[in-house]
Amino acid sequence: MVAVGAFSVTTVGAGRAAAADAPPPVPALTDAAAAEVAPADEEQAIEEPATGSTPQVAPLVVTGYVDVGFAKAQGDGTSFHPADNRAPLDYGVDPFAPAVNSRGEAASTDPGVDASGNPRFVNGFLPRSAGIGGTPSFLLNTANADFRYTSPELPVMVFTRVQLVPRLEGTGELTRLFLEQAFGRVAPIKSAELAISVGKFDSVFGIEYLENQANFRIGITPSLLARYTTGTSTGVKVFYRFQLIAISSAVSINASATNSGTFVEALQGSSRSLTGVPVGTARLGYELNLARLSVKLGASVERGPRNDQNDRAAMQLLYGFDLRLFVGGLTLMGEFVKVDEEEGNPNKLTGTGTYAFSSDFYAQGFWLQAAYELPLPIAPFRITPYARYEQRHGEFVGFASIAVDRLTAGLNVGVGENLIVKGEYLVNRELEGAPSVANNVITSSVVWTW
Amino acid sequence: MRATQSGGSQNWAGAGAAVVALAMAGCNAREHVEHKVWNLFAINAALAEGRSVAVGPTLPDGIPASELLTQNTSGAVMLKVQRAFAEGQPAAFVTTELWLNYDAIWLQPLYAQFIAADLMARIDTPLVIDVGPESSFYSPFWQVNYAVVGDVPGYLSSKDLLDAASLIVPAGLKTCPLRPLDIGAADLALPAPWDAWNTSISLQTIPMGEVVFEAEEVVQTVGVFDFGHELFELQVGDNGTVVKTSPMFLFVDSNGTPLTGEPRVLSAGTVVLDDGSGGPRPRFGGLWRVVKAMLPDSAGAFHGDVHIAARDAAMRANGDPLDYEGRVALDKTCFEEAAANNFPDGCAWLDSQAQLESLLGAGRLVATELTQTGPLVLYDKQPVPVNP
Repeated sequence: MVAVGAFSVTTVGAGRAAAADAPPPVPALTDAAAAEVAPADEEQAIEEPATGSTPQVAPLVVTGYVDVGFAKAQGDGTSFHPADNRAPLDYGVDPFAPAVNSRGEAASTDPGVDASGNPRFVNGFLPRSAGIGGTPSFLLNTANADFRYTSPELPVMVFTRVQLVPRLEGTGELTRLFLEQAFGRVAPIKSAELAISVGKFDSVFGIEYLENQANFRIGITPSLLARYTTGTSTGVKVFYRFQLIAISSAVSINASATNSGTFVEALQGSSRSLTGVPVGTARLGYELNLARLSVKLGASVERGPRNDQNDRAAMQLLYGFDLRLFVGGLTLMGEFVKVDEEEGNPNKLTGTGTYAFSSDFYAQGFWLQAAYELPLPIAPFRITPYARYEQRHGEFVGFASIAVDRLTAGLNVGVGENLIVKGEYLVNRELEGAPSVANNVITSSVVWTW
Repeated sequence: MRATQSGGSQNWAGAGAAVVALAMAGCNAREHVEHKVWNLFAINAALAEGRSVAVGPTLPDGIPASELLTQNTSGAVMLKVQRAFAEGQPAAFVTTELWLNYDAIWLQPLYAQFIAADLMARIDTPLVIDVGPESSFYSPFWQVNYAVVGDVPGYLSSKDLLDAASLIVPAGLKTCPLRPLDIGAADLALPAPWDAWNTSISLQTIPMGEVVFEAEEVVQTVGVFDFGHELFELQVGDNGTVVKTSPMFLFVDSNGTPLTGEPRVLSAGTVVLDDGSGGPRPRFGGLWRVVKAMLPDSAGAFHGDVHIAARDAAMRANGDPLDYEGRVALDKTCFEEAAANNFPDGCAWLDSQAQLESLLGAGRLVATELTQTGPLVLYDKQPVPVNP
């Protein structure tokens, strides 16, 4: 339990929970999510060195983590049925289901060939791929470095998150460099929790983006809905929180105008606007913070032109609701998300390439997750079993709608502030529309935080 | 103090103006690009409402649906035959689909169900498809698969079928446009002015069938025309396998007006002889890319009722002037006055891909945003046998 300001927040282990709209307990110097929105004075309180020997926080702080995994997916590592040759192949299944790491990378996205040897056709509804197929493999999921500069004179913070992702592609070794975040933030009113960020920053939709990074995530893999809500994008963001001290509560609004909204970059690139019109996203939050109980509720909405094509009239609309409950060592959280994308222009452009065109699309689903930190007197170890259930319905207009679900169960073992070891098993099922395939995943992750 | 407030207000106003200016710039930056498929369902709907299809930059007025479908005396809607020239000879085709701004068309799976791996006993159940006529990814080009599913009544959805199948055997490629159940293809006939040939040339009836697919959890039944095997080839595109297009040339006069009333010119391709009838079976025609052939001022089409001297010359040489009806010559003076005496040999005809490329040159051949199906029903002035 970490005391912040007037309230207490119960967590399930240091180094995991990180709430952008709440002052969360986090490992010192690593919480970029909190750094995005927390006012400078609060942030400094979090970051103050434990020794107390140096009252000043260094202007530039460099932190990071290394996430190393070992994963094995069933079948060929995709959700594609070997005898299915629909076009596009990725419209009739959930290619994101066999995720192997916190980046949401699938074990494989290789569409393969049909029985006649012809490459099967896809249209860019694809995650990034770890490229391991059905072969068990170690993966250096992410090598992450965060650079945070806090002005000693002004309420300004500048943050950059750089990630290296080494993969052995079909054409050879390739290490991708992702500029995951790069923004400046100003807190113009010292007496108010108001922060304005400009640059490339985290999503403001829902709650799952808070766990984007492996060192914050309780489990390993993102939900089946994370593809719509957790992408970083470029633009401007405003966060404001108002404390209702008399009722131990706070309300907050987190709103952004960005190039691409909150889809992950594999589906919509964020570095430039293709339509000239920004995508607006906002979350309204309420939190109740008691000594032994914390409840957080939120409602999110997003509206704007889809940024995988250039017709500004082709809109996307998302809305969702989220809930988090912290009591004792138990954390319950869940989210409902609904997505509606209108058909756009030909020549779809995503983070993974160019495709035929952007289709009319609907999806909705939910996820529920429970985690409980066992009350064991074995410091510095923290042991947290967790489980998540989720469903996703999706339909590209003119295709059969599909329904899939997933059950994830795992164990998170924290060791001090610098090491987390996680292991989980994903049971993926195709309920409607999509042919059943063997695409369960067993995966693990060792996160070294520095 | 007042001055400071005023200055601050001006700053916000300036910023607001900048935002508005940026937003307005954005508003004018990007436009909708129409991309659309008209299949027999859409063409039939347009026919009922008296509308045109394939409206776009190449054909601003589109093609009247009545040029593609026709109603017979009993009110039944039928395919309408369109004239063309292929390799310098009269040919004809039917149009069942048109696509606007599609770079590629793809293959979709179609399943027939069998009890056992010997493929001897086919289950008496409709063919199953996945992608229906409402989809942007609709295609009339099918990968036929034989699915071995055991001794069951048969499955009506591809999910159930794939989940149950012990074996999937690829069984060739077919061109089978989906059709509303009330559209037929019996009594196909050549249009005017080639209708005079209908007494001697009997175009074959296109075989028909039915398929089922699941949409919004409801099994739907639609019809198909079966134009048979091997009317297209495949190629590997950037994102997988797609159907290869062949050029279909649409003449455009020197004013830029498409000559939609004149026969089109079809590209060359492999033609085999049918084992049964001995008739020509073009191994192409499934998918065409419409290419504009930009004519010079000198070019023009022959019409017997206008170019009477040329028509008479053809008849004197025991030729059939209808063979040349609508055929475009590079220099239309070959139809006129004294030159007409050498008709048709005196004309440089633009009636094959090779002639177009050599006489017009590549610079006057411009690919358009239109693709279309166009299975041939007449080739080399002979009916094309259709083998389902």
